[in-house]
Amino acid sequence: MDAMLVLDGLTKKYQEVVAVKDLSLELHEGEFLTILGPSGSGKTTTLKMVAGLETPTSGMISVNERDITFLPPNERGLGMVFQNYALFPHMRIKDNVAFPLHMKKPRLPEAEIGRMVAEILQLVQLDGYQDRYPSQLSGGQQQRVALARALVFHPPIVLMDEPLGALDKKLRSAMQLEIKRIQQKLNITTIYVTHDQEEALTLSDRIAIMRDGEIAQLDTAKNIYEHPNSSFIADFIGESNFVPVEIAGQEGEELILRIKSEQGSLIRCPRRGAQPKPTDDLKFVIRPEKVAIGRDLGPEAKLRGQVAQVIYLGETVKYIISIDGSYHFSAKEQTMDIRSHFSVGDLIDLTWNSENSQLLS
Amino acid sequence: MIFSQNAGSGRQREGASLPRRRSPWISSFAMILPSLILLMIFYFYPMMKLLPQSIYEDHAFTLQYFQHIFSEPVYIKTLLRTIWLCLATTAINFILGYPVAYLLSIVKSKTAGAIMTIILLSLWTSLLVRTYSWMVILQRTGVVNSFLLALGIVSEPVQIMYTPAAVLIGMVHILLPYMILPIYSVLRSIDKNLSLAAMSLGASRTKAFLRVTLPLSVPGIASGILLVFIQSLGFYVTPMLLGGAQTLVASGLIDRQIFTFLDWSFGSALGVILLLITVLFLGVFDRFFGMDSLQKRLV
Repeated sequence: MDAMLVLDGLTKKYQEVVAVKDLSLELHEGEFLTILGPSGSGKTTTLKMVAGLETPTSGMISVNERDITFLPPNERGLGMVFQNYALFPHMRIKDNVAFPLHMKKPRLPEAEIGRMVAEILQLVQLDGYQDRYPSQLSGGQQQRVALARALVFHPPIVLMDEPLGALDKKLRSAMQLEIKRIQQKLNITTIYVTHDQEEALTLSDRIAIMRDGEIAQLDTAKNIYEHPNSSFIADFIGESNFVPVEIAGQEGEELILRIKSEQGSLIRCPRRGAQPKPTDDLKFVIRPEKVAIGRDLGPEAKLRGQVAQVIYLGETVKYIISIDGSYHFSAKEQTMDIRSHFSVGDLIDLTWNSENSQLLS
Repeated sequence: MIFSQNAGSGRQREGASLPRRRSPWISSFAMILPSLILLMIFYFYPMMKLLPQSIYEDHAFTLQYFQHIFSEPVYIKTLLRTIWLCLATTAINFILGYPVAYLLSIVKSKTAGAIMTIILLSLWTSLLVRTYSWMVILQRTGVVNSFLLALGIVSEPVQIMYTPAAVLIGMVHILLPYMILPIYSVLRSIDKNLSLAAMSLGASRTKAFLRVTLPLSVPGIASGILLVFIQSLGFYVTPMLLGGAQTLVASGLIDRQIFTFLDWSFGSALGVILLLITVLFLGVFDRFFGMDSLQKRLV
């Protein structure tokens, strides 16, 4: 399958500041790609360059093998949903949605425009609101109008810049499902920018995590969560335990790691990819929900620790466990299947499936 | 019109923030009271003293002064001249002012500050000083004529002073800030993403401006036009100094009737006509622009 959108070596500099650095990625038809990153990581700049609202310093953008790098935004034919919707306050909903259709050349017949507007408003479940003004609609409804307006002219690609940022949590998760439903129904190729990792995990086929203007990792949601390629990713997506370690030895496909502490307990970790250099600042990484705890687990036990804190979080209970008296490890258990109740000061064993642990620098 | 709006918005804010329920009318009335008293003493009272003078002669009702105005072509001509000068001033100010306001709204704040200082500087300079400056520039031996003569465009000085052109130039210059400022304040409040959104949806830069930015700036244009037109109708110093007796406007005419001929009744009648023109303009304006509804829509 050929790539629909190709970004090749895209760079944007503002005077001396590099906002986006040598960014390359490919997007296939119907794919939902999320660019995720902390603020200032260059994700919005990247999106604006694709939309034509910013000119790249170097690099190339092409859609269906057509170079659009320096095309003005109105000649790109891409749909864009803005952070604060950017609905035209002086136009009725139907005129807002019809706007891109009225801009089309050659001109579309009015009847056709009316039909397309009615159809898309039905899809976003807003029929009956045609004659209202944006200010008469709720935030969620305005969001739907913005979506309808970006989709009505059947653009090959739709760009969304934190479209749900202004909504409250409940409404946001409802709209996420809504966006996903419409995206799948119309099979729209989408680039979605957000700083909300949960949103990225819910919506995306693939996620590109950006850091300092570069893509730190580009993969499916599952792979990024299960196999982060750096401690930055492991920390940015979800929660992780980071234990500073050094390599103490090797046994077949497993590395023996020594925790950098006085006692220097040993942990085993599967070897993946290239051998890390021993000088690297190495960290043993595992997610809290992958860690199981118990009393006297026998040969299954991978580490011993002492409960330092118990935090009840509703869905889960989080245990902060002190390892070697110097590091804190957290473990999460579903409240439904709590096997044992521990309290502060208890000595416990920790275990995990070694596939879920990783050595990162 | 403007007062009732202020009172209305004040009332809403009050109602939302006060925990105690108090009649919203009383508090909003208290807020406008100082300005109301001021207007009563210095505006309504003199006007009420003046108006009867135009329709009473020895305690008997008469329309003779109004008849007098409409029977003398010279007065009608002066009134018409006043109206077209004001319309021209307003139109030219719009054409000159909108681009400046637009520029102000898109440049960096530092540049905008510099341009703004220039605009405000001219606003802060005394009206008299500015008008005299124009006299210096426009007179027979002034800058413009010296320039034209030196370039050989004309062989003898052109008469600019005391023509409608001189009055127009002076009025346009002095009233320009009143056009720029309200338009700028509205343009600045328009979300920049709106025109970007229009462009991303297929509109060219021009179309995005015409379909989005321009219609959204209508409230600013409306205030600018109102401010400039109404002020120019009553303009006195500038037309008197730059237009003199040859290009007389309504305010000059009234002044002459009252202070030269001591004919208070006739002067009052002219004043009433000028007031009626203003009210008529406001009415027509409100009808066509429907400013109230426009502003509501923008909130």
